[in-house]
Amino acid sequence: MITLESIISALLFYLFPILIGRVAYGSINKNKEVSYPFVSYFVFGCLTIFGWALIEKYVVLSLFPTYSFIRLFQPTIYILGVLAFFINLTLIRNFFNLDIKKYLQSVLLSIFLGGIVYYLWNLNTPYPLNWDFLEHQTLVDNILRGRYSFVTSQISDTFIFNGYSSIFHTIMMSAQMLLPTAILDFWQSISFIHLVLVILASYFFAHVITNNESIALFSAILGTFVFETVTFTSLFFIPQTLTAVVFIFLFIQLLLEVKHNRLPSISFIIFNSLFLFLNHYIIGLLAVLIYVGLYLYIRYSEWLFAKINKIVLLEVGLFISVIMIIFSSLIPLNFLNQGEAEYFNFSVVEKFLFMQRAYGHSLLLFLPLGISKILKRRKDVEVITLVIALFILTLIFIQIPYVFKFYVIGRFFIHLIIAIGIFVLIEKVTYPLLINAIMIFLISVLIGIFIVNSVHWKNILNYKDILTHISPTELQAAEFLKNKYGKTNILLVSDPATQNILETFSGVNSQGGVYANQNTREQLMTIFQATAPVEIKDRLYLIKDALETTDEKRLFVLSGRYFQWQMASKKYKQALYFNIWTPSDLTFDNKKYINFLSSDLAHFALVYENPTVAIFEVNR
Amino acid sequence: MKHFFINIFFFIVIIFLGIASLYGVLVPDDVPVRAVDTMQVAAFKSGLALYQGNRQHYYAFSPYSDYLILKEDARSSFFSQEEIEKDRFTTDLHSSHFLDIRNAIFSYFNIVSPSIKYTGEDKEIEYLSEVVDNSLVITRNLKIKTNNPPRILGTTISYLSTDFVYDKTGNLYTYQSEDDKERFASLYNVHLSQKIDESRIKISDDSIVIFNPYLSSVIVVRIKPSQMIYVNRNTRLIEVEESVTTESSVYTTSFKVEIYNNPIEAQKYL
Repeated sequence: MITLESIISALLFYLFPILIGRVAYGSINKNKEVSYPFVSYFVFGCLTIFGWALIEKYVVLSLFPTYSFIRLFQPTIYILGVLAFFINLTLIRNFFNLDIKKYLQSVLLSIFLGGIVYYLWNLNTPYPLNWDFLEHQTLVDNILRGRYSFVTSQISDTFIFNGYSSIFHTIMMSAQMLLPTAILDFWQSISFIHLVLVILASYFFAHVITNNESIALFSAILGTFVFETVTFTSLFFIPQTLTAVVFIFLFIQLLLEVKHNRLPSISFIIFNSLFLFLNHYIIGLLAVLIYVGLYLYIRYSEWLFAKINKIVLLEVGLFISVIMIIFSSLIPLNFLNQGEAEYFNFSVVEKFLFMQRAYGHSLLLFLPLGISKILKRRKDVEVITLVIALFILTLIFIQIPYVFKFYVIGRFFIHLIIAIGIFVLIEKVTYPLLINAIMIFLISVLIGIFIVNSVHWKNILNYKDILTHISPTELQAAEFLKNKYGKTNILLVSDPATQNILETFSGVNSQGGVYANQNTREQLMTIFQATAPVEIKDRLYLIKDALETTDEKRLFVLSGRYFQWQMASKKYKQALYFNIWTPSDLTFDNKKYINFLSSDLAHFALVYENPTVAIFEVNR
Repeated sequence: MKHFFINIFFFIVIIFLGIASLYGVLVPDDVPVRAVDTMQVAAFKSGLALYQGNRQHYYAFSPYSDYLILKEDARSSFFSQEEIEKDRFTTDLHSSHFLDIRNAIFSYFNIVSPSIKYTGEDKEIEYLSEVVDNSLVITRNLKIKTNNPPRILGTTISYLSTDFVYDKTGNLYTYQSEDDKERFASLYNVHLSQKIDESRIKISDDSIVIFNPYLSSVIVVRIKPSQMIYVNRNTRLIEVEESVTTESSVYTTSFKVEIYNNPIEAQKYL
């Protein structure tokens, strides 16, 4: 549920770096004017906070190893926060120089549209559907417990693939430290703020490129109601989606700076690129490629196109794209992120179906209209946008794992082109009544597509009368674990999904959370075939955490999910992408198994039971 | 005038493209699904079925199992073997993509409940469901052209070989081991005694309980005073029979199915 406290705490994720960044940016750039300054403040603020954290971790703590990171960092955050707040107060006059009216309308529109989608998405859904938030919160909690590193896999073994630095989590930890609030409320709130920013980014992006309010509005509407699986741009707040939003604002900023004849310095570009890359290596790399590519184009295009024919360049580009799509499947890249990569390697047909689920036929129908209008108008900035859109579309359809994730950036460009395509037709209609009818109709169509798409996503999540990944009884079990074992080094063992949930909400460590390693999975499979409790006990002690030393005791959690996971095939149990996504209560048959374990009083003590979860404390 | 036609033309084009856009959306196969407490109900090719999440146990209300008892006490199925083998009937399941889209949207707001209609050469059988809290009301409308009108309408619910099927006095109509009966008693304080002498048992109560040891739900079938329940151990069906009082071209029968979390809770309402 969104509360005032949680929304302020979530806003601090953005406000705190902005306050710090405003001071940092101002002192570096001598208060030089820049378009959309908030994005620069945010980037500089994040880099400053992250930089400070790394200095404290790798320099200060190496000199004073007896100190813990969090004891050093926490006061730093408070001091930085207070200093930045007061310095910003002295600069408050500058705030009133901003053209608030210019932003207010679009912000209010974004909040309104975001509110509609937020209401629809959260119907019968009391908890966030962003499954990834569990592992990100676990990492934040581990930092709060004093474990810190640049590398995420050194903070939590839930992260087996280092897809980004810990910058995202450092900022999140700072926000949660400044104003602690309930975890679920925080994530609901920050998801809403993120959604509003996605809509705002879609609006401003289209506006700066086309200078057309109507196209900007259509782009914002598309940005609101289109929800793609795999990329989750609008509704899931995760590093890849934050990277995409910040990139779009930086892209807009760059175009506006060029319009105002203020070409940014190379160091400015480098700082922004550094943030994008640190926030997500793969998405950030694409973002940096486009961002730096745009900068170089602006700076050197006259020289370049004096040497090379534009049409020839375009033709070579198209040729390379076709070759890449055809031959990419031959490149052996499944070593990327082990088993999970296999799941994220979709065929062209599957990718097409993902798009169809999110857009219906609107992509196929309006995109060509938008493309032809752009080619007819030949406005430089629109053609650049088209080239980037087609480049990303090409990447997406290549047969390499994870490339579909690039659509997290691509969707802003595609939506702009679709919006142009819609505008091409609407501009022919001049009667206001008909225009209003069309707007209402098209919004209704997009809402319909969004709802059907939501049904796809949520249909498997039926638990009693709600749609959810997490059950209230699992949260109660986590509360018990937090109170009794939260401050111990005990290791919790269960199926990956149960581990993921209980570790996040209780703070009790598990091996790998949802990304349990193969040893843990093999031991769990053997455990299920064991005929004596002592055999199970022995196997539980063969499960070891990679990062933390653990107590002599283990917590063995038997949930409805655990038993369902055990009933799956070996192939699925070994796969990182397979989980029991929906809560399940314990059955009569499950309780037989619980009784079987309880018979070994020497090793298994049943310490907690509710309709969904039974927890054993296991002694060696 | 030209201006007017241009406006109307593009208005129609946009509306058409909008409808075409919506038409392209992919709809899940099991739409609509309604939650009934801890279970869900959806329509499948074989009828309506109650199930729980992704646990593969289904309790079907199906025209393949339902029956009629005719005047000479002859039992007649709804579809003959030939009709089934040669697909001599159609269903309205996923017959229209626009209807599927409508159902998907309506089911998101719990406005529509699963139903299915079978249309054969001389018959039409429709199963409707209605969910109120933890109750599911199954209604079957049967339209037949026949010279031999039915005397009794039989509606069935399948159960599984591992299920506990019992009544409120504790008579257990399916085989369970002594260990399981003892465990059931200790967990739920319901003492069961096996009564499996006959293959088809008439139940004197107005309710029967189905408890699946692999699900975390209890199904209670509750009938009306004009109905009778039988447990058919050969076919593993709960048979609800209702006498036909007046001949008609449409025969309607309905009964209620209640879902509870566990047998302790179910016992309070038996």
